[in-house]
Amino acid sequence: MNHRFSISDDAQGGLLTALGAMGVRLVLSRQYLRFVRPGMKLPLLGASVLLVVLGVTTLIRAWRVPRMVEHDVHAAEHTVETDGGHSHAEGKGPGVGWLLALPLAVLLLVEPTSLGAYAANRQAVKTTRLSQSAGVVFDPLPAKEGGRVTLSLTDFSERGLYDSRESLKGQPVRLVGFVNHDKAAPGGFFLTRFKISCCAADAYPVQVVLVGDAGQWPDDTWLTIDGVWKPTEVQPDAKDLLRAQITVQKVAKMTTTPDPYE
Amino acid sequence: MRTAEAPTVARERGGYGFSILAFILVASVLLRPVFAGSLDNKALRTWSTIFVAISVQSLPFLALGVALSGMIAALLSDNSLNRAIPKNPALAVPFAGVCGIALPGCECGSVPIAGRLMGNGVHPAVALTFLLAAPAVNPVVMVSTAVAFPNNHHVWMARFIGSMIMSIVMGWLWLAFGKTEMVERALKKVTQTGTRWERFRAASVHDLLHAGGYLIVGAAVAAALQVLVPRRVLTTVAGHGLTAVITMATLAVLLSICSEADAFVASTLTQFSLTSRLVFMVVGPGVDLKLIAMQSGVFGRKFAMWFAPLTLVVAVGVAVIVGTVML
Repeated sequence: MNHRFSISDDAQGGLLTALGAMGVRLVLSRQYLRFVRPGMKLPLLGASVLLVVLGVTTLIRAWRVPRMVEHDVHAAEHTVETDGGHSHAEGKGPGVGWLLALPLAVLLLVEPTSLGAYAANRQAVKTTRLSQSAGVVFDPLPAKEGGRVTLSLTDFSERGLYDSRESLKGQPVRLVGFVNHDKAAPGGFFLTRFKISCCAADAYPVQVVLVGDAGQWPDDTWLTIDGVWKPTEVQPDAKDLLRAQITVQKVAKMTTTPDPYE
Repeated sequence: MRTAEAPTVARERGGYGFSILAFILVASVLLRPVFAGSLDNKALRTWSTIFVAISVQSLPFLALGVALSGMIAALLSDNSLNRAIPKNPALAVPFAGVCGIALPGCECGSVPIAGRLMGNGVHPAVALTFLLAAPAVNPVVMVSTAVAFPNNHHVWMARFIGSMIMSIVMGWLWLAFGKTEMVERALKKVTQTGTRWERFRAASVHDLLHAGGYLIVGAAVAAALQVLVPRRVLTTVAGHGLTAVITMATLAVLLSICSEADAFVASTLTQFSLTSRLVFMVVGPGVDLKLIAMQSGVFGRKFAMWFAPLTLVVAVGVAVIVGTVML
């Protein structure tokens, strides 16, 4: 590591403090849900607090130690560090640490949104794990609210495609997702939502076919769709992606964006 | 650090570091309205989401890793770990593999720990086996694998056995062919005195900046590849036999998914054979873009150029054999 690009102690402290503060902010503002699962809340908060503690103590030390040098207090903290064979002066850390400012800058500058239609069109895989659920016995449907059952797109798709007892038959349902234009969609777009296992890097889209007139909306518009399940004809050796279908009864644009992922 | 260079300290102290940092932060906040409006580029926006997602997801595991690394530096004297490890390195390697079960994290955390273990005098082969085993065989990963493949319990067992064998083989290969100077960077890293808290702080901060910085490189590249190469392209070449194995090994390296999540991804890729999906899960925690970046940072670039391809070959080979026998 070139000495010139090393990172001074006070910059280290400031950077870690800022990163930790950003982590806390992501959790408190619920924006972390654009990137990871709700279960990451406490680990993320804990890690952020650790960063703040390390950052603040590093800052305090950076401001205190030079005075100790002047007073020639040698005994207390004597540290030797080499990095890639080059000896470093006091108060210098690995320069690659500067890169930690990159996610900070990205978060501050562009404020990334949750994954949307663009990603759904690119990340769609040919088959989904749905096929694994074939023959599985499903839990009873959740309780109705206002005569409708609200289901996740994943739950709706799995029941719609693989429930031998057809628990969705004739059942008024409510689905939430975003508009995702696609050539393969009969009405021009799918109702889509991403399912994530860990973070947005492993997200895969769950798409539901809308039968009937769902209106025209731009990509990434969040909609509430009321309707009734329509069976999908499943070819036993189908190679294409299977999607559950809903006959649309009512479409409403959502005024607030829900937590983005399932 | 304060040594013979002490006289330069006062002069070098402060420098521009803090000013640069302050400038970055202020500029980011001020320019935000400009960028927020103009960022209609969907590819760039998707990249930023995935990049931040990998960073945010890794942060708790990295923090756990550097905190443990800091504790090793603060609480354990040099070589004290060696008293707990079998004297014979050939036996210590499998011992390290079994110890890997105890670290419930993913791969980002184990890199700084392995670096610190080497710095504390643990044989590199032992530290490297721990590095490979810990993110792959711990209970969290095993449970998520069992959940992802609910109908086939052979999958998580095959994953455990495959990853364990792979880690141990790599340790033994290091014993046979590895050269100490390849991991010099980790060996010479930091020797500290001072209060326990100060040793903890210095080691944690150093590892955080070091491993974290390289993690960012890996996250940025992996996010870019996810955007540039649609998964659709990679998964249309599905199939069985060798093609599937090569595709899944490539996917594992490129996607850089956390070891606690990769089983869920593997379970969705149903068009691939089970054996090739096992390859995906055995390769991922050992070799991927962010790991290569972190390893070249913590151990040295020469090391990573040697270690990553070899791990890939061994992981694929072991997974294919285990998969053929068990799945």
